[in-house]
Amino acid sequence: MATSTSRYQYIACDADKCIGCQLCELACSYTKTGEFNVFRSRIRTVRAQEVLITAVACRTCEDAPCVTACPRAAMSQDPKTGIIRIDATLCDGCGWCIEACDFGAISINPETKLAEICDLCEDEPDGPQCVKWCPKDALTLTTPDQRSQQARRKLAIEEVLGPA
Amino acid sequence: MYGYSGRILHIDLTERKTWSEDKPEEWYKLYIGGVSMAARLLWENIEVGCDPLSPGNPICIAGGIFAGTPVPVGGKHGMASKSPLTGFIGDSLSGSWFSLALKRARWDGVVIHGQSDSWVNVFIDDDRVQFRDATKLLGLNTYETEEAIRDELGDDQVRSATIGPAGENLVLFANVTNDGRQAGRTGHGAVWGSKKLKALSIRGTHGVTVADPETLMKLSYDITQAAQGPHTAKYRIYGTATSVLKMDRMGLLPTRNFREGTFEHADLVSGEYMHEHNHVKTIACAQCPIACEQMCSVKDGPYAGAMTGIDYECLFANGPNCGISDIRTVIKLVDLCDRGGMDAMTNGVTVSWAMESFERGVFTKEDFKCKKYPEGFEPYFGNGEAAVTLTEMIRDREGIGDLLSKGTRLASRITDEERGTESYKWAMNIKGLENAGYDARALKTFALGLAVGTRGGCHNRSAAYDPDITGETDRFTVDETRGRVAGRSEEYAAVYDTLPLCKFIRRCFTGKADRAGAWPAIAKLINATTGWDFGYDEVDLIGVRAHTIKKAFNIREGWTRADDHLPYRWQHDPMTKGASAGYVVTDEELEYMKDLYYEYKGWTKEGLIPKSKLIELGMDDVAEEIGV
Amino acid sequence: MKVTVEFLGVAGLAAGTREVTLELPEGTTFRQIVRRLSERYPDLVGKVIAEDRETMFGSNILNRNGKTVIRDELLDTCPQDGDKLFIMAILAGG
Repeated sequence: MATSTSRYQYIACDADKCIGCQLCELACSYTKTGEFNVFRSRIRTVRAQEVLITAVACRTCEDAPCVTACPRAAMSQDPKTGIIRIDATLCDGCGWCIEACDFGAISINPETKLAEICDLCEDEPDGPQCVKWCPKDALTLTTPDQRSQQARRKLAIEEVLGPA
Repeated sequence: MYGYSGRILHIDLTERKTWSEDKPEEWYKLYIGGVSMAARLLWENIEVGCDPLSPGNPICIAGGIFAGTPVPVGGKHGMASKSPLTGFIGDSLSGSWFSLALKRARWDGVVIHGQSDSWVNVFIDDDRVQFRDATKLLGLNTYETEEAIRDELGDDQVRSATIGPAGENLVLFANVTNDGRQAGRTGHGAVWGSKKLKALSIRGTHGVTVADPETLMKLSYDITQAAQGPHTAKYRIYGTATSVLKMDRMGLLPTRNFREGTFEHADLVSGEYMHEHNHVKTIACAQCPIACEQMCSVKDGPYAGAMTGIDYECLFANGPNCGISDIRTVIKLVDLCDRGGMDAMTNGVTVSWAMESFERGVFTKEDFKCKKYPEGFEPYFGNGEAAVTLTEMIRDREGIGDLLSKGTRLASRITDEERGTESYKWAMNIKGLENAGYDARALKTFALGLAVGTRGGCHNRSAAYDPDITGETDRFTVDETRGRVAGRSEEYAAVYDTLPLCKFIRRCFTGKADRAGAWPAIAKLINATTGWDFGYDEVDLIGVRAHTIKKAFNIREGWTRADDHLPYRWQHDPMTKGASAGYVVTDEELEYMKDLYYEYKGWTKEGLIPKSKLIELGMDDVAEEIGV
Repeated sequence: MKVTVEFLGVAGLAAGTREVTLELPEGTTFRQIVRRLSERYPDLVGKVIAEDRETMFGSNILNRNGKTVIRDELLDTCPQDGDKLFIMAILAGG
């Protein structure tokens, strides 16, 4: 199973809470392009089976494989935030980054055919718009550390009080 | 033009050709989308008087203004064709990603004409249309069909509306499924089957733009937040199945084919019980922040593994109404219907008709021979395995399933002719469409709403149970206000069905669900999307026109005042138990209320529409054809 | 007099119970009953009972014996001994 080794923040989805409404994709594509188009969203909902629904965006891996894979040095990673940046003047849409990403977090713009990826809405004053819009609080901006802390806390509560 | 592309896609299955029709902005302002636009497309494209299963009956699909934008619950599409069950308008709504894909492909609507020689999957890929061989999809259930197409085309973003085996077999109440949601009632699936159309798939890659995105984002965000509040808690937590106990307590829960309105085992088939024992996951339709669909599964017993979304209407029909108290059996029945691609409401009410007919001796065990039970079986009320077997037989049109696949009106007519019986007296349909889960003997305003409804026994097009249940009207009696109340209620519902917006959002604009609370907010959403200048009155007229075009369609297909009827049982057999015992709707009451209703609508005493009324609504061409 | 109140659906969740029997002095009005329920089950307020603690919130209704809806104008009338009251949200669809 693919795992992220990141110390960086990324957008995580709690699959128990996700209802598959796609509002995250509409908010994302509007924020990034001014249009509503799930093909341009940097976060994607997945309905793998009837009741298996989640959403996936960039996991900001350390030493990100997509960056390593890019043959044209179009991708770079911000050492402070882990955010992956794609230089559209260098990218030629070859798709190697997509091959390298275990999370399917990179997509190709259907018109320009160039790669696009989540940047955690670093320019938005109120943070990632998908997180803001998620009606069920399934999406959170978090780190692997915080995720494990939450898991431990949930476990502790369940062991003492029983399942919710 | 924002919100619309201005284009309708026509697909002719006989000739395998397509063309694009341009529509002016004024046309969109009149018919908007959803059921209204679908009905209008049907009005324009049908061969009047045709057999619903003939090539002359087109399938008309309309998207909505808000599809593909973040406007909550705005992702729905409307579907219209002449109903093989009723012979009148068949109009359905489905929550869908399908409508979002349609919008991104830049089509406002689709009209499918003719009849294919061989089974076909029509694939709309933005501007391109492919006629793909669907032979290998035959026999697949609705979920499998959708998945198979996605695999074949290699793209998760392809959205399909499909029919299951029931549609292929021309079960008259077969429906059309997309993403686990259905254009559920009036038998569209049979119309698809008659055209050998197994699926309609869409991939739309274009972005959706609106007139004032900033305002639309703000409005949508606020509604999304409000939709997490107390007004929608009932939908979010239990879904509509929470109605079982409420209806039971009011004596309105149809039980054993509408004989009674209270079920002694209501607790065991309640939304609350299911939530505790069978709930797996809550899911939403496209762009819906409420999420009312409660996916429920069967964990043990003979039906283990069955899983589907269970809502009140399917639950009442296949549970209490068949006398079934084991929720696992109910889930199995709805699962069979959803996967088989047929209307679970009509299925339950048809099975309950067969059960009553068996108990009354119209049918005997012999009549129920099938492969599974070669000696036959005894479908008494409460016999869950019998209901399951009957549902499978209906889907496959095996044995007596062939008769039952025609719905209660035709099945009772055929049976009574052949056997000299009177089973029509417990055939619970209006205009041929089986009734929803509200016993209207003691909901007098709703009884009117149902009787005059353009598509038959439907709770979605008339919302007149609302004043009855909230005590705004006295539900046990009749008075001079009812024509207006029923008419207004129907026009109110039609606004939502036309935009379309799911009605579950109705209290999330301002807290008040009435016109004053909702229309100004809806006008703002329309204006931010389209750039139009709609106000309260324009929004109100959306519903009036939507209803009028459907009514006009029925008139052109031969509707008369006598078609606005109620089931025999509701007029003659009072219930004996519960809070609504002792009531029927008498002929005098019904005819009096119909008079009031036609008068409110500004129609003639015979229920026909004056030319002037239609011209007033901007429907001049309709006035010419059917105005009096 | 004795009056039973059944909380259906979400009202049951908010109250934390399905049913309660109230022992009330003769002449107690429905308004007083709603008030009493607000005190006993404060989580109902804002979800099922309005903030004024006297009327019902949103689409919730107070129903007497499955037959009569106690609308605002009936709040000052009284139940009878043995009445069964239902608190529930009206909804439709599905």
